[in-house]
Order: sequence, then C-alpha cells, then structure tokens
Amino acid sequence: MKLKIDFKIKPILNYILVILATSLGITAGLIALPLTGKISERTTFNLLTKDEFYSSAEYYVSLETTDDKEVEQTRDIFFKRLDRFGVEKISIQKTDQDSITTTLRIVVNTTRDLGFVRELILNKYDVTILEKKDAVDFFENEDPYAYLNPENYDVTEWTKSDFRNIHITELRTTDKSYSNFAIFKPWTNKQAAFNDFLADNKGDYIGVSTDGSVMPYLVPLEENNIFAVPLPVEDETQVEAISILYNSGNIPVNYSIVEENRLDPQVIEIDHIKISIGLFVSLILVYLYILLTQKATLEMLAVPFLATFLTLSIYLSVLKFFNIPVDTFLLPIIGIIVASLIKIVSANDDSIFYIEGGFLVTLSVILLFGYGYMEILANHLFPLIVLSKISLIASSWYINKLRRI
Amino acid sequence: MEIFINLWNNWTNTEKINTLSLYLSLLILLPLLVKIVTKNNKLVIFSILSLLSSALITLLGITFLSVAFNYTITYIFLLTPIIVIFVNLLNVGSSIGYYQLNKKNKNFNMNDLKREYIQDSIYLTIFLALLFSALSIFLTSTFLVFILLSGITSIATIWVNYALLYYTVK
Repeated sequence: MKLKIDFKIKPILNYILVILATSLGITAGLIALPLTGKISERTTFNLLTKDEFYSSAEYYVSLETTDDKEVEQTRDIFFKRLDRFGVEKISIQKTDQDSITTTLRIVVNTTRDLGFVRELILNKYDVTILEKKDAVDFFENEDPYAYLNPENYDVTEWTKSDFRNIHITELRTTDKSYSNFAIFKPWTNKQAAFNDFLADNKGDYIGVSTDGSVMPYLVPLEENNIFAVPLPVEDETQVEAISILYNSGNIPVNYSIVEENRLDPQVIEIDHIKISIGLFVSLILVYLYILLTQKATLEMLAVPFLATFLTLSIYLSVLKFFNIPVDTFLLPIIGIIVASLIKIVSANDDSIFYIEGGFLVTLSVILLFGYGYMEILANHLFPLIVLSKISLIASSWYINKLRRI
Repeated sequence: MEIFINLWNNWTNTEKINTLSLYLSLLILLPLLVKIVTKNNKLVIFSILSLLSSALITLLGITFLSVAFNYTITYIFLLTPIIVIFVNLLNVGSSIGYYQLNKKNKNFNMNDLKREYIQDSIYLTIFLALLFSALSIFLTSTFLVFILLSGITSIATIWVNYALLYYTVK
C-alpha cells in the first residue's frame, strides 16, 4: 500500500506570507507606540523631537546704503542663505534708516547651529580672482607668507558673478588622499575668456580673494579645464555653509553686524505621546461612528483602517529607527492628511489617478517653491503618499487572504 | 486686511515670488490635470473657481480670527492654505472620478454628478469634522486654534465647492 501525500505548496506559502505580514505589522505598530522606550530596555525607540534643539537669535545688521533696491537685494540674499541652510523660521525686517545707513533686523528660530547661521550673515563672501604682480617673486621673497598677501596681487575683472556655479566636492590630491575643492564654473559665454586668462598665467600663481583673504592657486602647466581651488575644511556643515556663501549671490553693499542677542526659542510644544494616542483614538472613533451609523460596512472600512494604521506606524517606526528629528506639531497635520487621503481613495476607486496625481503635483510644487515649514511638511508627506498607496494594496491583499483562511 | 499688508511688506522679494509662484502654479497645474483627465471645460472652470474660493475662504478665516478675536496670527497659519488645498483635492477629486467612470453611460447627466457630489461632500465633512474635533481634545493654545481654523475652513470649502458645482455644471 502506497502512502500518498497530497502536498499543496500554495496554501502553505499563503499562510507563511500572512504570518510574516502580521509580524511586520505588529512590529511596526509596537515600534511606533509612544512609550516603546519603556517596553524594552535593550533597545530604545524614542521619537527624536526637534523641540529641545531649537534656538533663536536676532542680529541687527547695518547696511552702508539707503537705496531701496540694494536693501531689498541684500534682504533677499540673506533669506536665500538662511533658507538653503535649513533655518526653519526667518524674519528680515527693515527697522531703521538714516541719511547713510539702513538697519535690518534678522530674527531666526532654528535647530541648526547658530554659529554657522551667524557666519552666513556675517560674511559678505566677495570673491575676486587676483593676478600676481609681475615684480613679485614668491620664491625670492623674505616673507614666507607673501603668497597670502593681497598687496602682491593685481585685481582682475573676474568676480563671483562671472561663475554660474562654485561647486564644492572632494577630489584626489597629489598624495592620493581626498580633500575638498571649490570648482569654479564660468558662464558658457565666458568660458573661453577664462581659459585664455588661465593660459596666460600658466605655471604662475593667481589668487582667489574672499573678503580680502587670499587663497593662492598655482595654475598648472598642462592644459586643465577645471579651475579647482583647495578648501582647507573637513567639517560637512562648514562645507555646506561655504557652498551656500559661494552660490547665494553678491551682496551689493558693505555692512556689519552692530548687535546680536539670543532670544527665547519659539516652539510649538506638543506632547507627542498624547498626540499619537489622540490620533489613534480619533481614528477609531471616526471609523466606529461610520460603522455604527451604517454609512459603510465592516468590509469597506477594514482596508482603509488597516492601511492608515500601517502607513502611520511605518512612518513613525522609520522616524524612530533612523533617529530622524521631527517637529511634533507636524505629526497631527500629517496624520489628518494621510487618514483622509486613504479613506477617500479607498471609497472612490475611480478618483485615484486625479487625487493621488493632484497630491504629488501639489507636493512637488511646494518642494520647488516652498520654504520653512511648508517645505518640511512636503518632505514628510511626499514619501507618505507613496507609502499610503502601498499600504492600501497590502491591506487589501491581507484582508482577502485572511478571509480565505 | 492689515495683517496681510503687513505680512506682505515684511516679506523679502524671494518670499513674495516663491509664495506667488507656488499658488499660481497650483492654480494652473491642478485645473490642467482636470482637463487632461476629463476633457470637460465646465469641470475645469469649476476646479479653478474652487481653488480661488478656497483661497478666499482661508484669507477670510484668518482675517476673522485676527479681527474678531484679536488673535495674533503666527507663522504656523501659513500651513492652513496647504491643508485646505489638500481637502479641496480630495473633495473635487471624488467628483472627477465619478464623472470619468460614468460619462460614457447613456443615462448619465450632470444631475447624477451633483447627487454623487453631495453624498461625497457629506461623507468627507463628517469624516473631517470627527477627525479634527477628536484630535482637538488633546491640543491646547496656538495649535488648537490653528487646527480648529484649518478644520472649519476646510469644511467651508467643501460646501462652497458644492454651490460652485451647482451653478457651473449644468
């Protein structure tokens, strides 16, 4: 008598997949829970909030001009610098004006290092290319630092505005290590003239003057299309700040910081633990209401409820796992938008293209033109829209599989 | 309107240009998306009017809060128009989808769309009202006012949209 084993692999795989999906969902949910840090002593999953990292300061800057156009241009450049650096809240107001000067008051409220914020305001970063004076010979000079002295150079016509971009990157040096360099890229219509300028100074020193401080550059003898000036900085944030200073435009006037004060940071303090619980409770209440008033059946509500839970759990888990700092007041806004999106999309299959397309278009526009908290909100929402779509598909698959078991 | 004039005067040119570009781009791109999806000019006009009306409602809401309650409008209220735009998308989007699904049916007419729209609007209103109010219990101070304002202007937008649909789509 032969023993026949009727072995069907598909149902077993389905069971395994459902078990795996359930485990992942429970894990995400547990990590997302607000008090996870207390559940496990081995690993803490605490949400890193930005609230404690905020600091605020005001800077009074005196501009040597009363021309409105120059004042506005200067305000714009300060704003661009601070916005690119990621300062969350920026206010630049004209506070005073006399016959020769205009005073600006710059107030910042940010989690970024105030030291670098100050440098972004303090430094004009006027860049000029200098040509060594013919009469000067650095090798015969008694002064070992002669190549750093701006008096040994003539000013050329080349300034920061002649370069479309000054890109900072790591390049390999002659001793095979890597170091930061600033690559000056001229505008297309000036490329040829700049190449001629470099060719005229082959084998000789030219200088890159930044606010009067000279960085010498030995023009190579062999033809080289890249004008890369070494930058003696290693710190990433410093490199970021220098890149912003190089590429945020030319401040047309001289100025100085006349006063600076630390202020109390403006933080919208929200207990994220209460908010997480509040969001979860409000979702349950809403879905219960819809179920009890018979506006939808349990089958119609299970998928969006599970998808919302999954999306928000994964989002919070990722924030906790990778220690991504977040403004707590954005969490309820994100929760409301995601919950509403998932509910409406699940109830209107025919509208998915317009709604999700519209969301992605809106978020793309905000990322392009937005600043401050608008940009931060859009940065968080963009991947969540994609994740919500995946969660809906996964939840629908999961509920279907569960029904068949 | 003084708060908006002061806000405008205090902004740098970059902020003014970026903010105008953001909202103008949405005013162009979202109706363009409607045009691509539906190819119906009445719905395109409806989507343009709904965006403009949602902007007006938001401005009126913020002005009312500032004037009637003497409330200081802080930077966080710049997020209110963004929330209202998203709610507007959900509201208009559900009708766009219904139109797309049924436009080729012989018996379909715009009154069916209006009936479907009012049902979706009631559904969305209840959902948002419950969500905003349930969450508000756990909030205080500035953020509570912000959430309540965003919730009220979002729901107002939904019903102004219904009125606009009623008159533009015949």
